[in-house]
Amino acid sequence: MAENVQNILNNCIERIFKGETIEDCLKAYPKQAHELEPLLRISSAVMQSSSAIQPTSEFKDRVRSQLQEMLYVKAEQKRAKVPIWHRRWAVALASILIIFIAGIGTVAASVNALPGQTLYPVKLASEEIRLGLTFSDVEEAKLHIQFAERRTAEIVGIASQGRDDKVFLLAEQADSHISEVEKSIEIELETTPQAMAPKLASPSQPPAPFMSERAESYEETAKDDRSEMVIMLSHSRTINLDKLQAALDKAPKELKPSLEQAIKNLTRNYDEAISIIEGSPSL
Amino acid sequence: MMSIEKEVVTQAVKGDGKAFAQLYEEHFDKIYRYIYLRLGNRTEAEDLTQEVFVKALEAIGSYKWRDLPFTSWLFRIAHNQVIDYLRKESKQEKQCWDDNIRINGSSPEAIAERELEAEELNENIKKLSPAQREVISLRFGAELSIAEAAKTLGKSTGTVKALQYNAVVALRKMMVDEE
Repeated sequence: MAENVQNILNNCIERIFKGETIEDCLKAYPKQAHELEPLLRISSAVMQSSSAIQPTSEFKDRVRSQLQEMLYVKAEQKRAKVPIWHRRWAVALASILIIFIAGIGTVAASVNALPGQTLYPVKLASEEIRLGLTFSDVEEAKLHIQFAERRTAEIVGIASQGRDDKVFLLAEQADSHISEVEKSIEIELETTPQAMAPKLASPSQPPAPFMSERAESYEETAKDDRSEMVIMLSHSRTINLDKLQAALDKAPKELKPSLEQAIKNLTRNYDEAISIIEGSPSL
Repeated sequence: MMSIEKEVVTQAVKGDGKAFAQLYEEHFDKIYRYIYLRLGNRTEAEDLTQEVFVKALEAIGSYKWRDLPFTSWLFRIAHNQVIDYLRKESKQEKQCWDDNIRINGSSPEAIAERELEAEELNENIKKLSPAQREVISLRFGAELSIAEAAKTLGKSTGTVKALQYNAVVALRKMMVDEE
């Protein structure tokens, strides 16, 4: 019996969804009408109450623009299927040519360029060159910290112009630079001789004394690099979040949600990177 | 013949931004309502709704219709987000419910009356068991069919109907007790 009422209730709920009234349903099930009526009244009230729950149009617009940015990035990534290091070198070489043509002064002038300005592509190209020509993982990590700071400054710059069209994209790029710091440090740790030693040496053979000394020296260096990176990241975190917070305080109402999101994401990324590098296993 | 939604989903899977935007417009409010009814907090509902669509966009390329209808797939992402959130925050027993649901249209008196009713109902919905609340949110918030709700939750349609029935009976009892 109970199962039967469950089916009947469900059929009636479907009918109400389609626009029929409670009375129509009760007529269709006269024997169960007495039991059914209060349940349908409460179901109908829940339907009405639920339909009143609406997201704000500002929130909907914000998510829509975030997804549009993501779709744009996806489309760009799809276009460039060349492996990243190939691309980096290609960009670096092409950019060197451009810089020779345009002149070093142009590159210097591009440092403060914002997205949408003529010199902005030169700024990004010069960053690619610097990354492409850096062969030390630690130096590369330092560059990523610097570029994350640049993206943050650009967010502040465009927010001061009352724009938020690129905030999400720039925040994503800043996050991505912070993630690259982690990766660079991980690579650096993985490629030190002691980290490599277990993979190369036979377990029965003790390491030669000179290997042990060298490993100790690398261990010290790696520790120093990690500490230096944690200090740099913490410093960068404070500066960038202060800048974004100041921009948020001054920003008009419509810009605040995207800036708040940028602050939230960047804080999480900095904290994650710092804790991962701090917690990297001792060599 | 392919249904319109299936065609749109197929295009979105291939990376068509316009098709994804169409799916976004179609499902956004429902996902938001579902999450709101599960958590009862507008800020958290906004954060999680945003996450659901970001995750959906990231994963749409690997979506296959034969495994799960799109609506159920999307709501499963939302369901998992809610579960993760509740697990992380351990908020199952101490949820903070907003009291200001947005009611559109009608006269100010009617709006006030509906807001009051909505608040009472929401207070009662949060007293349901998690499984009952889940079904009520999917059926009445998201307006999913029994079959879609069952696929989203990985339960049989019979179980979902039973949960729905028990939830409605429990809500009715709460209303009677209040009177």
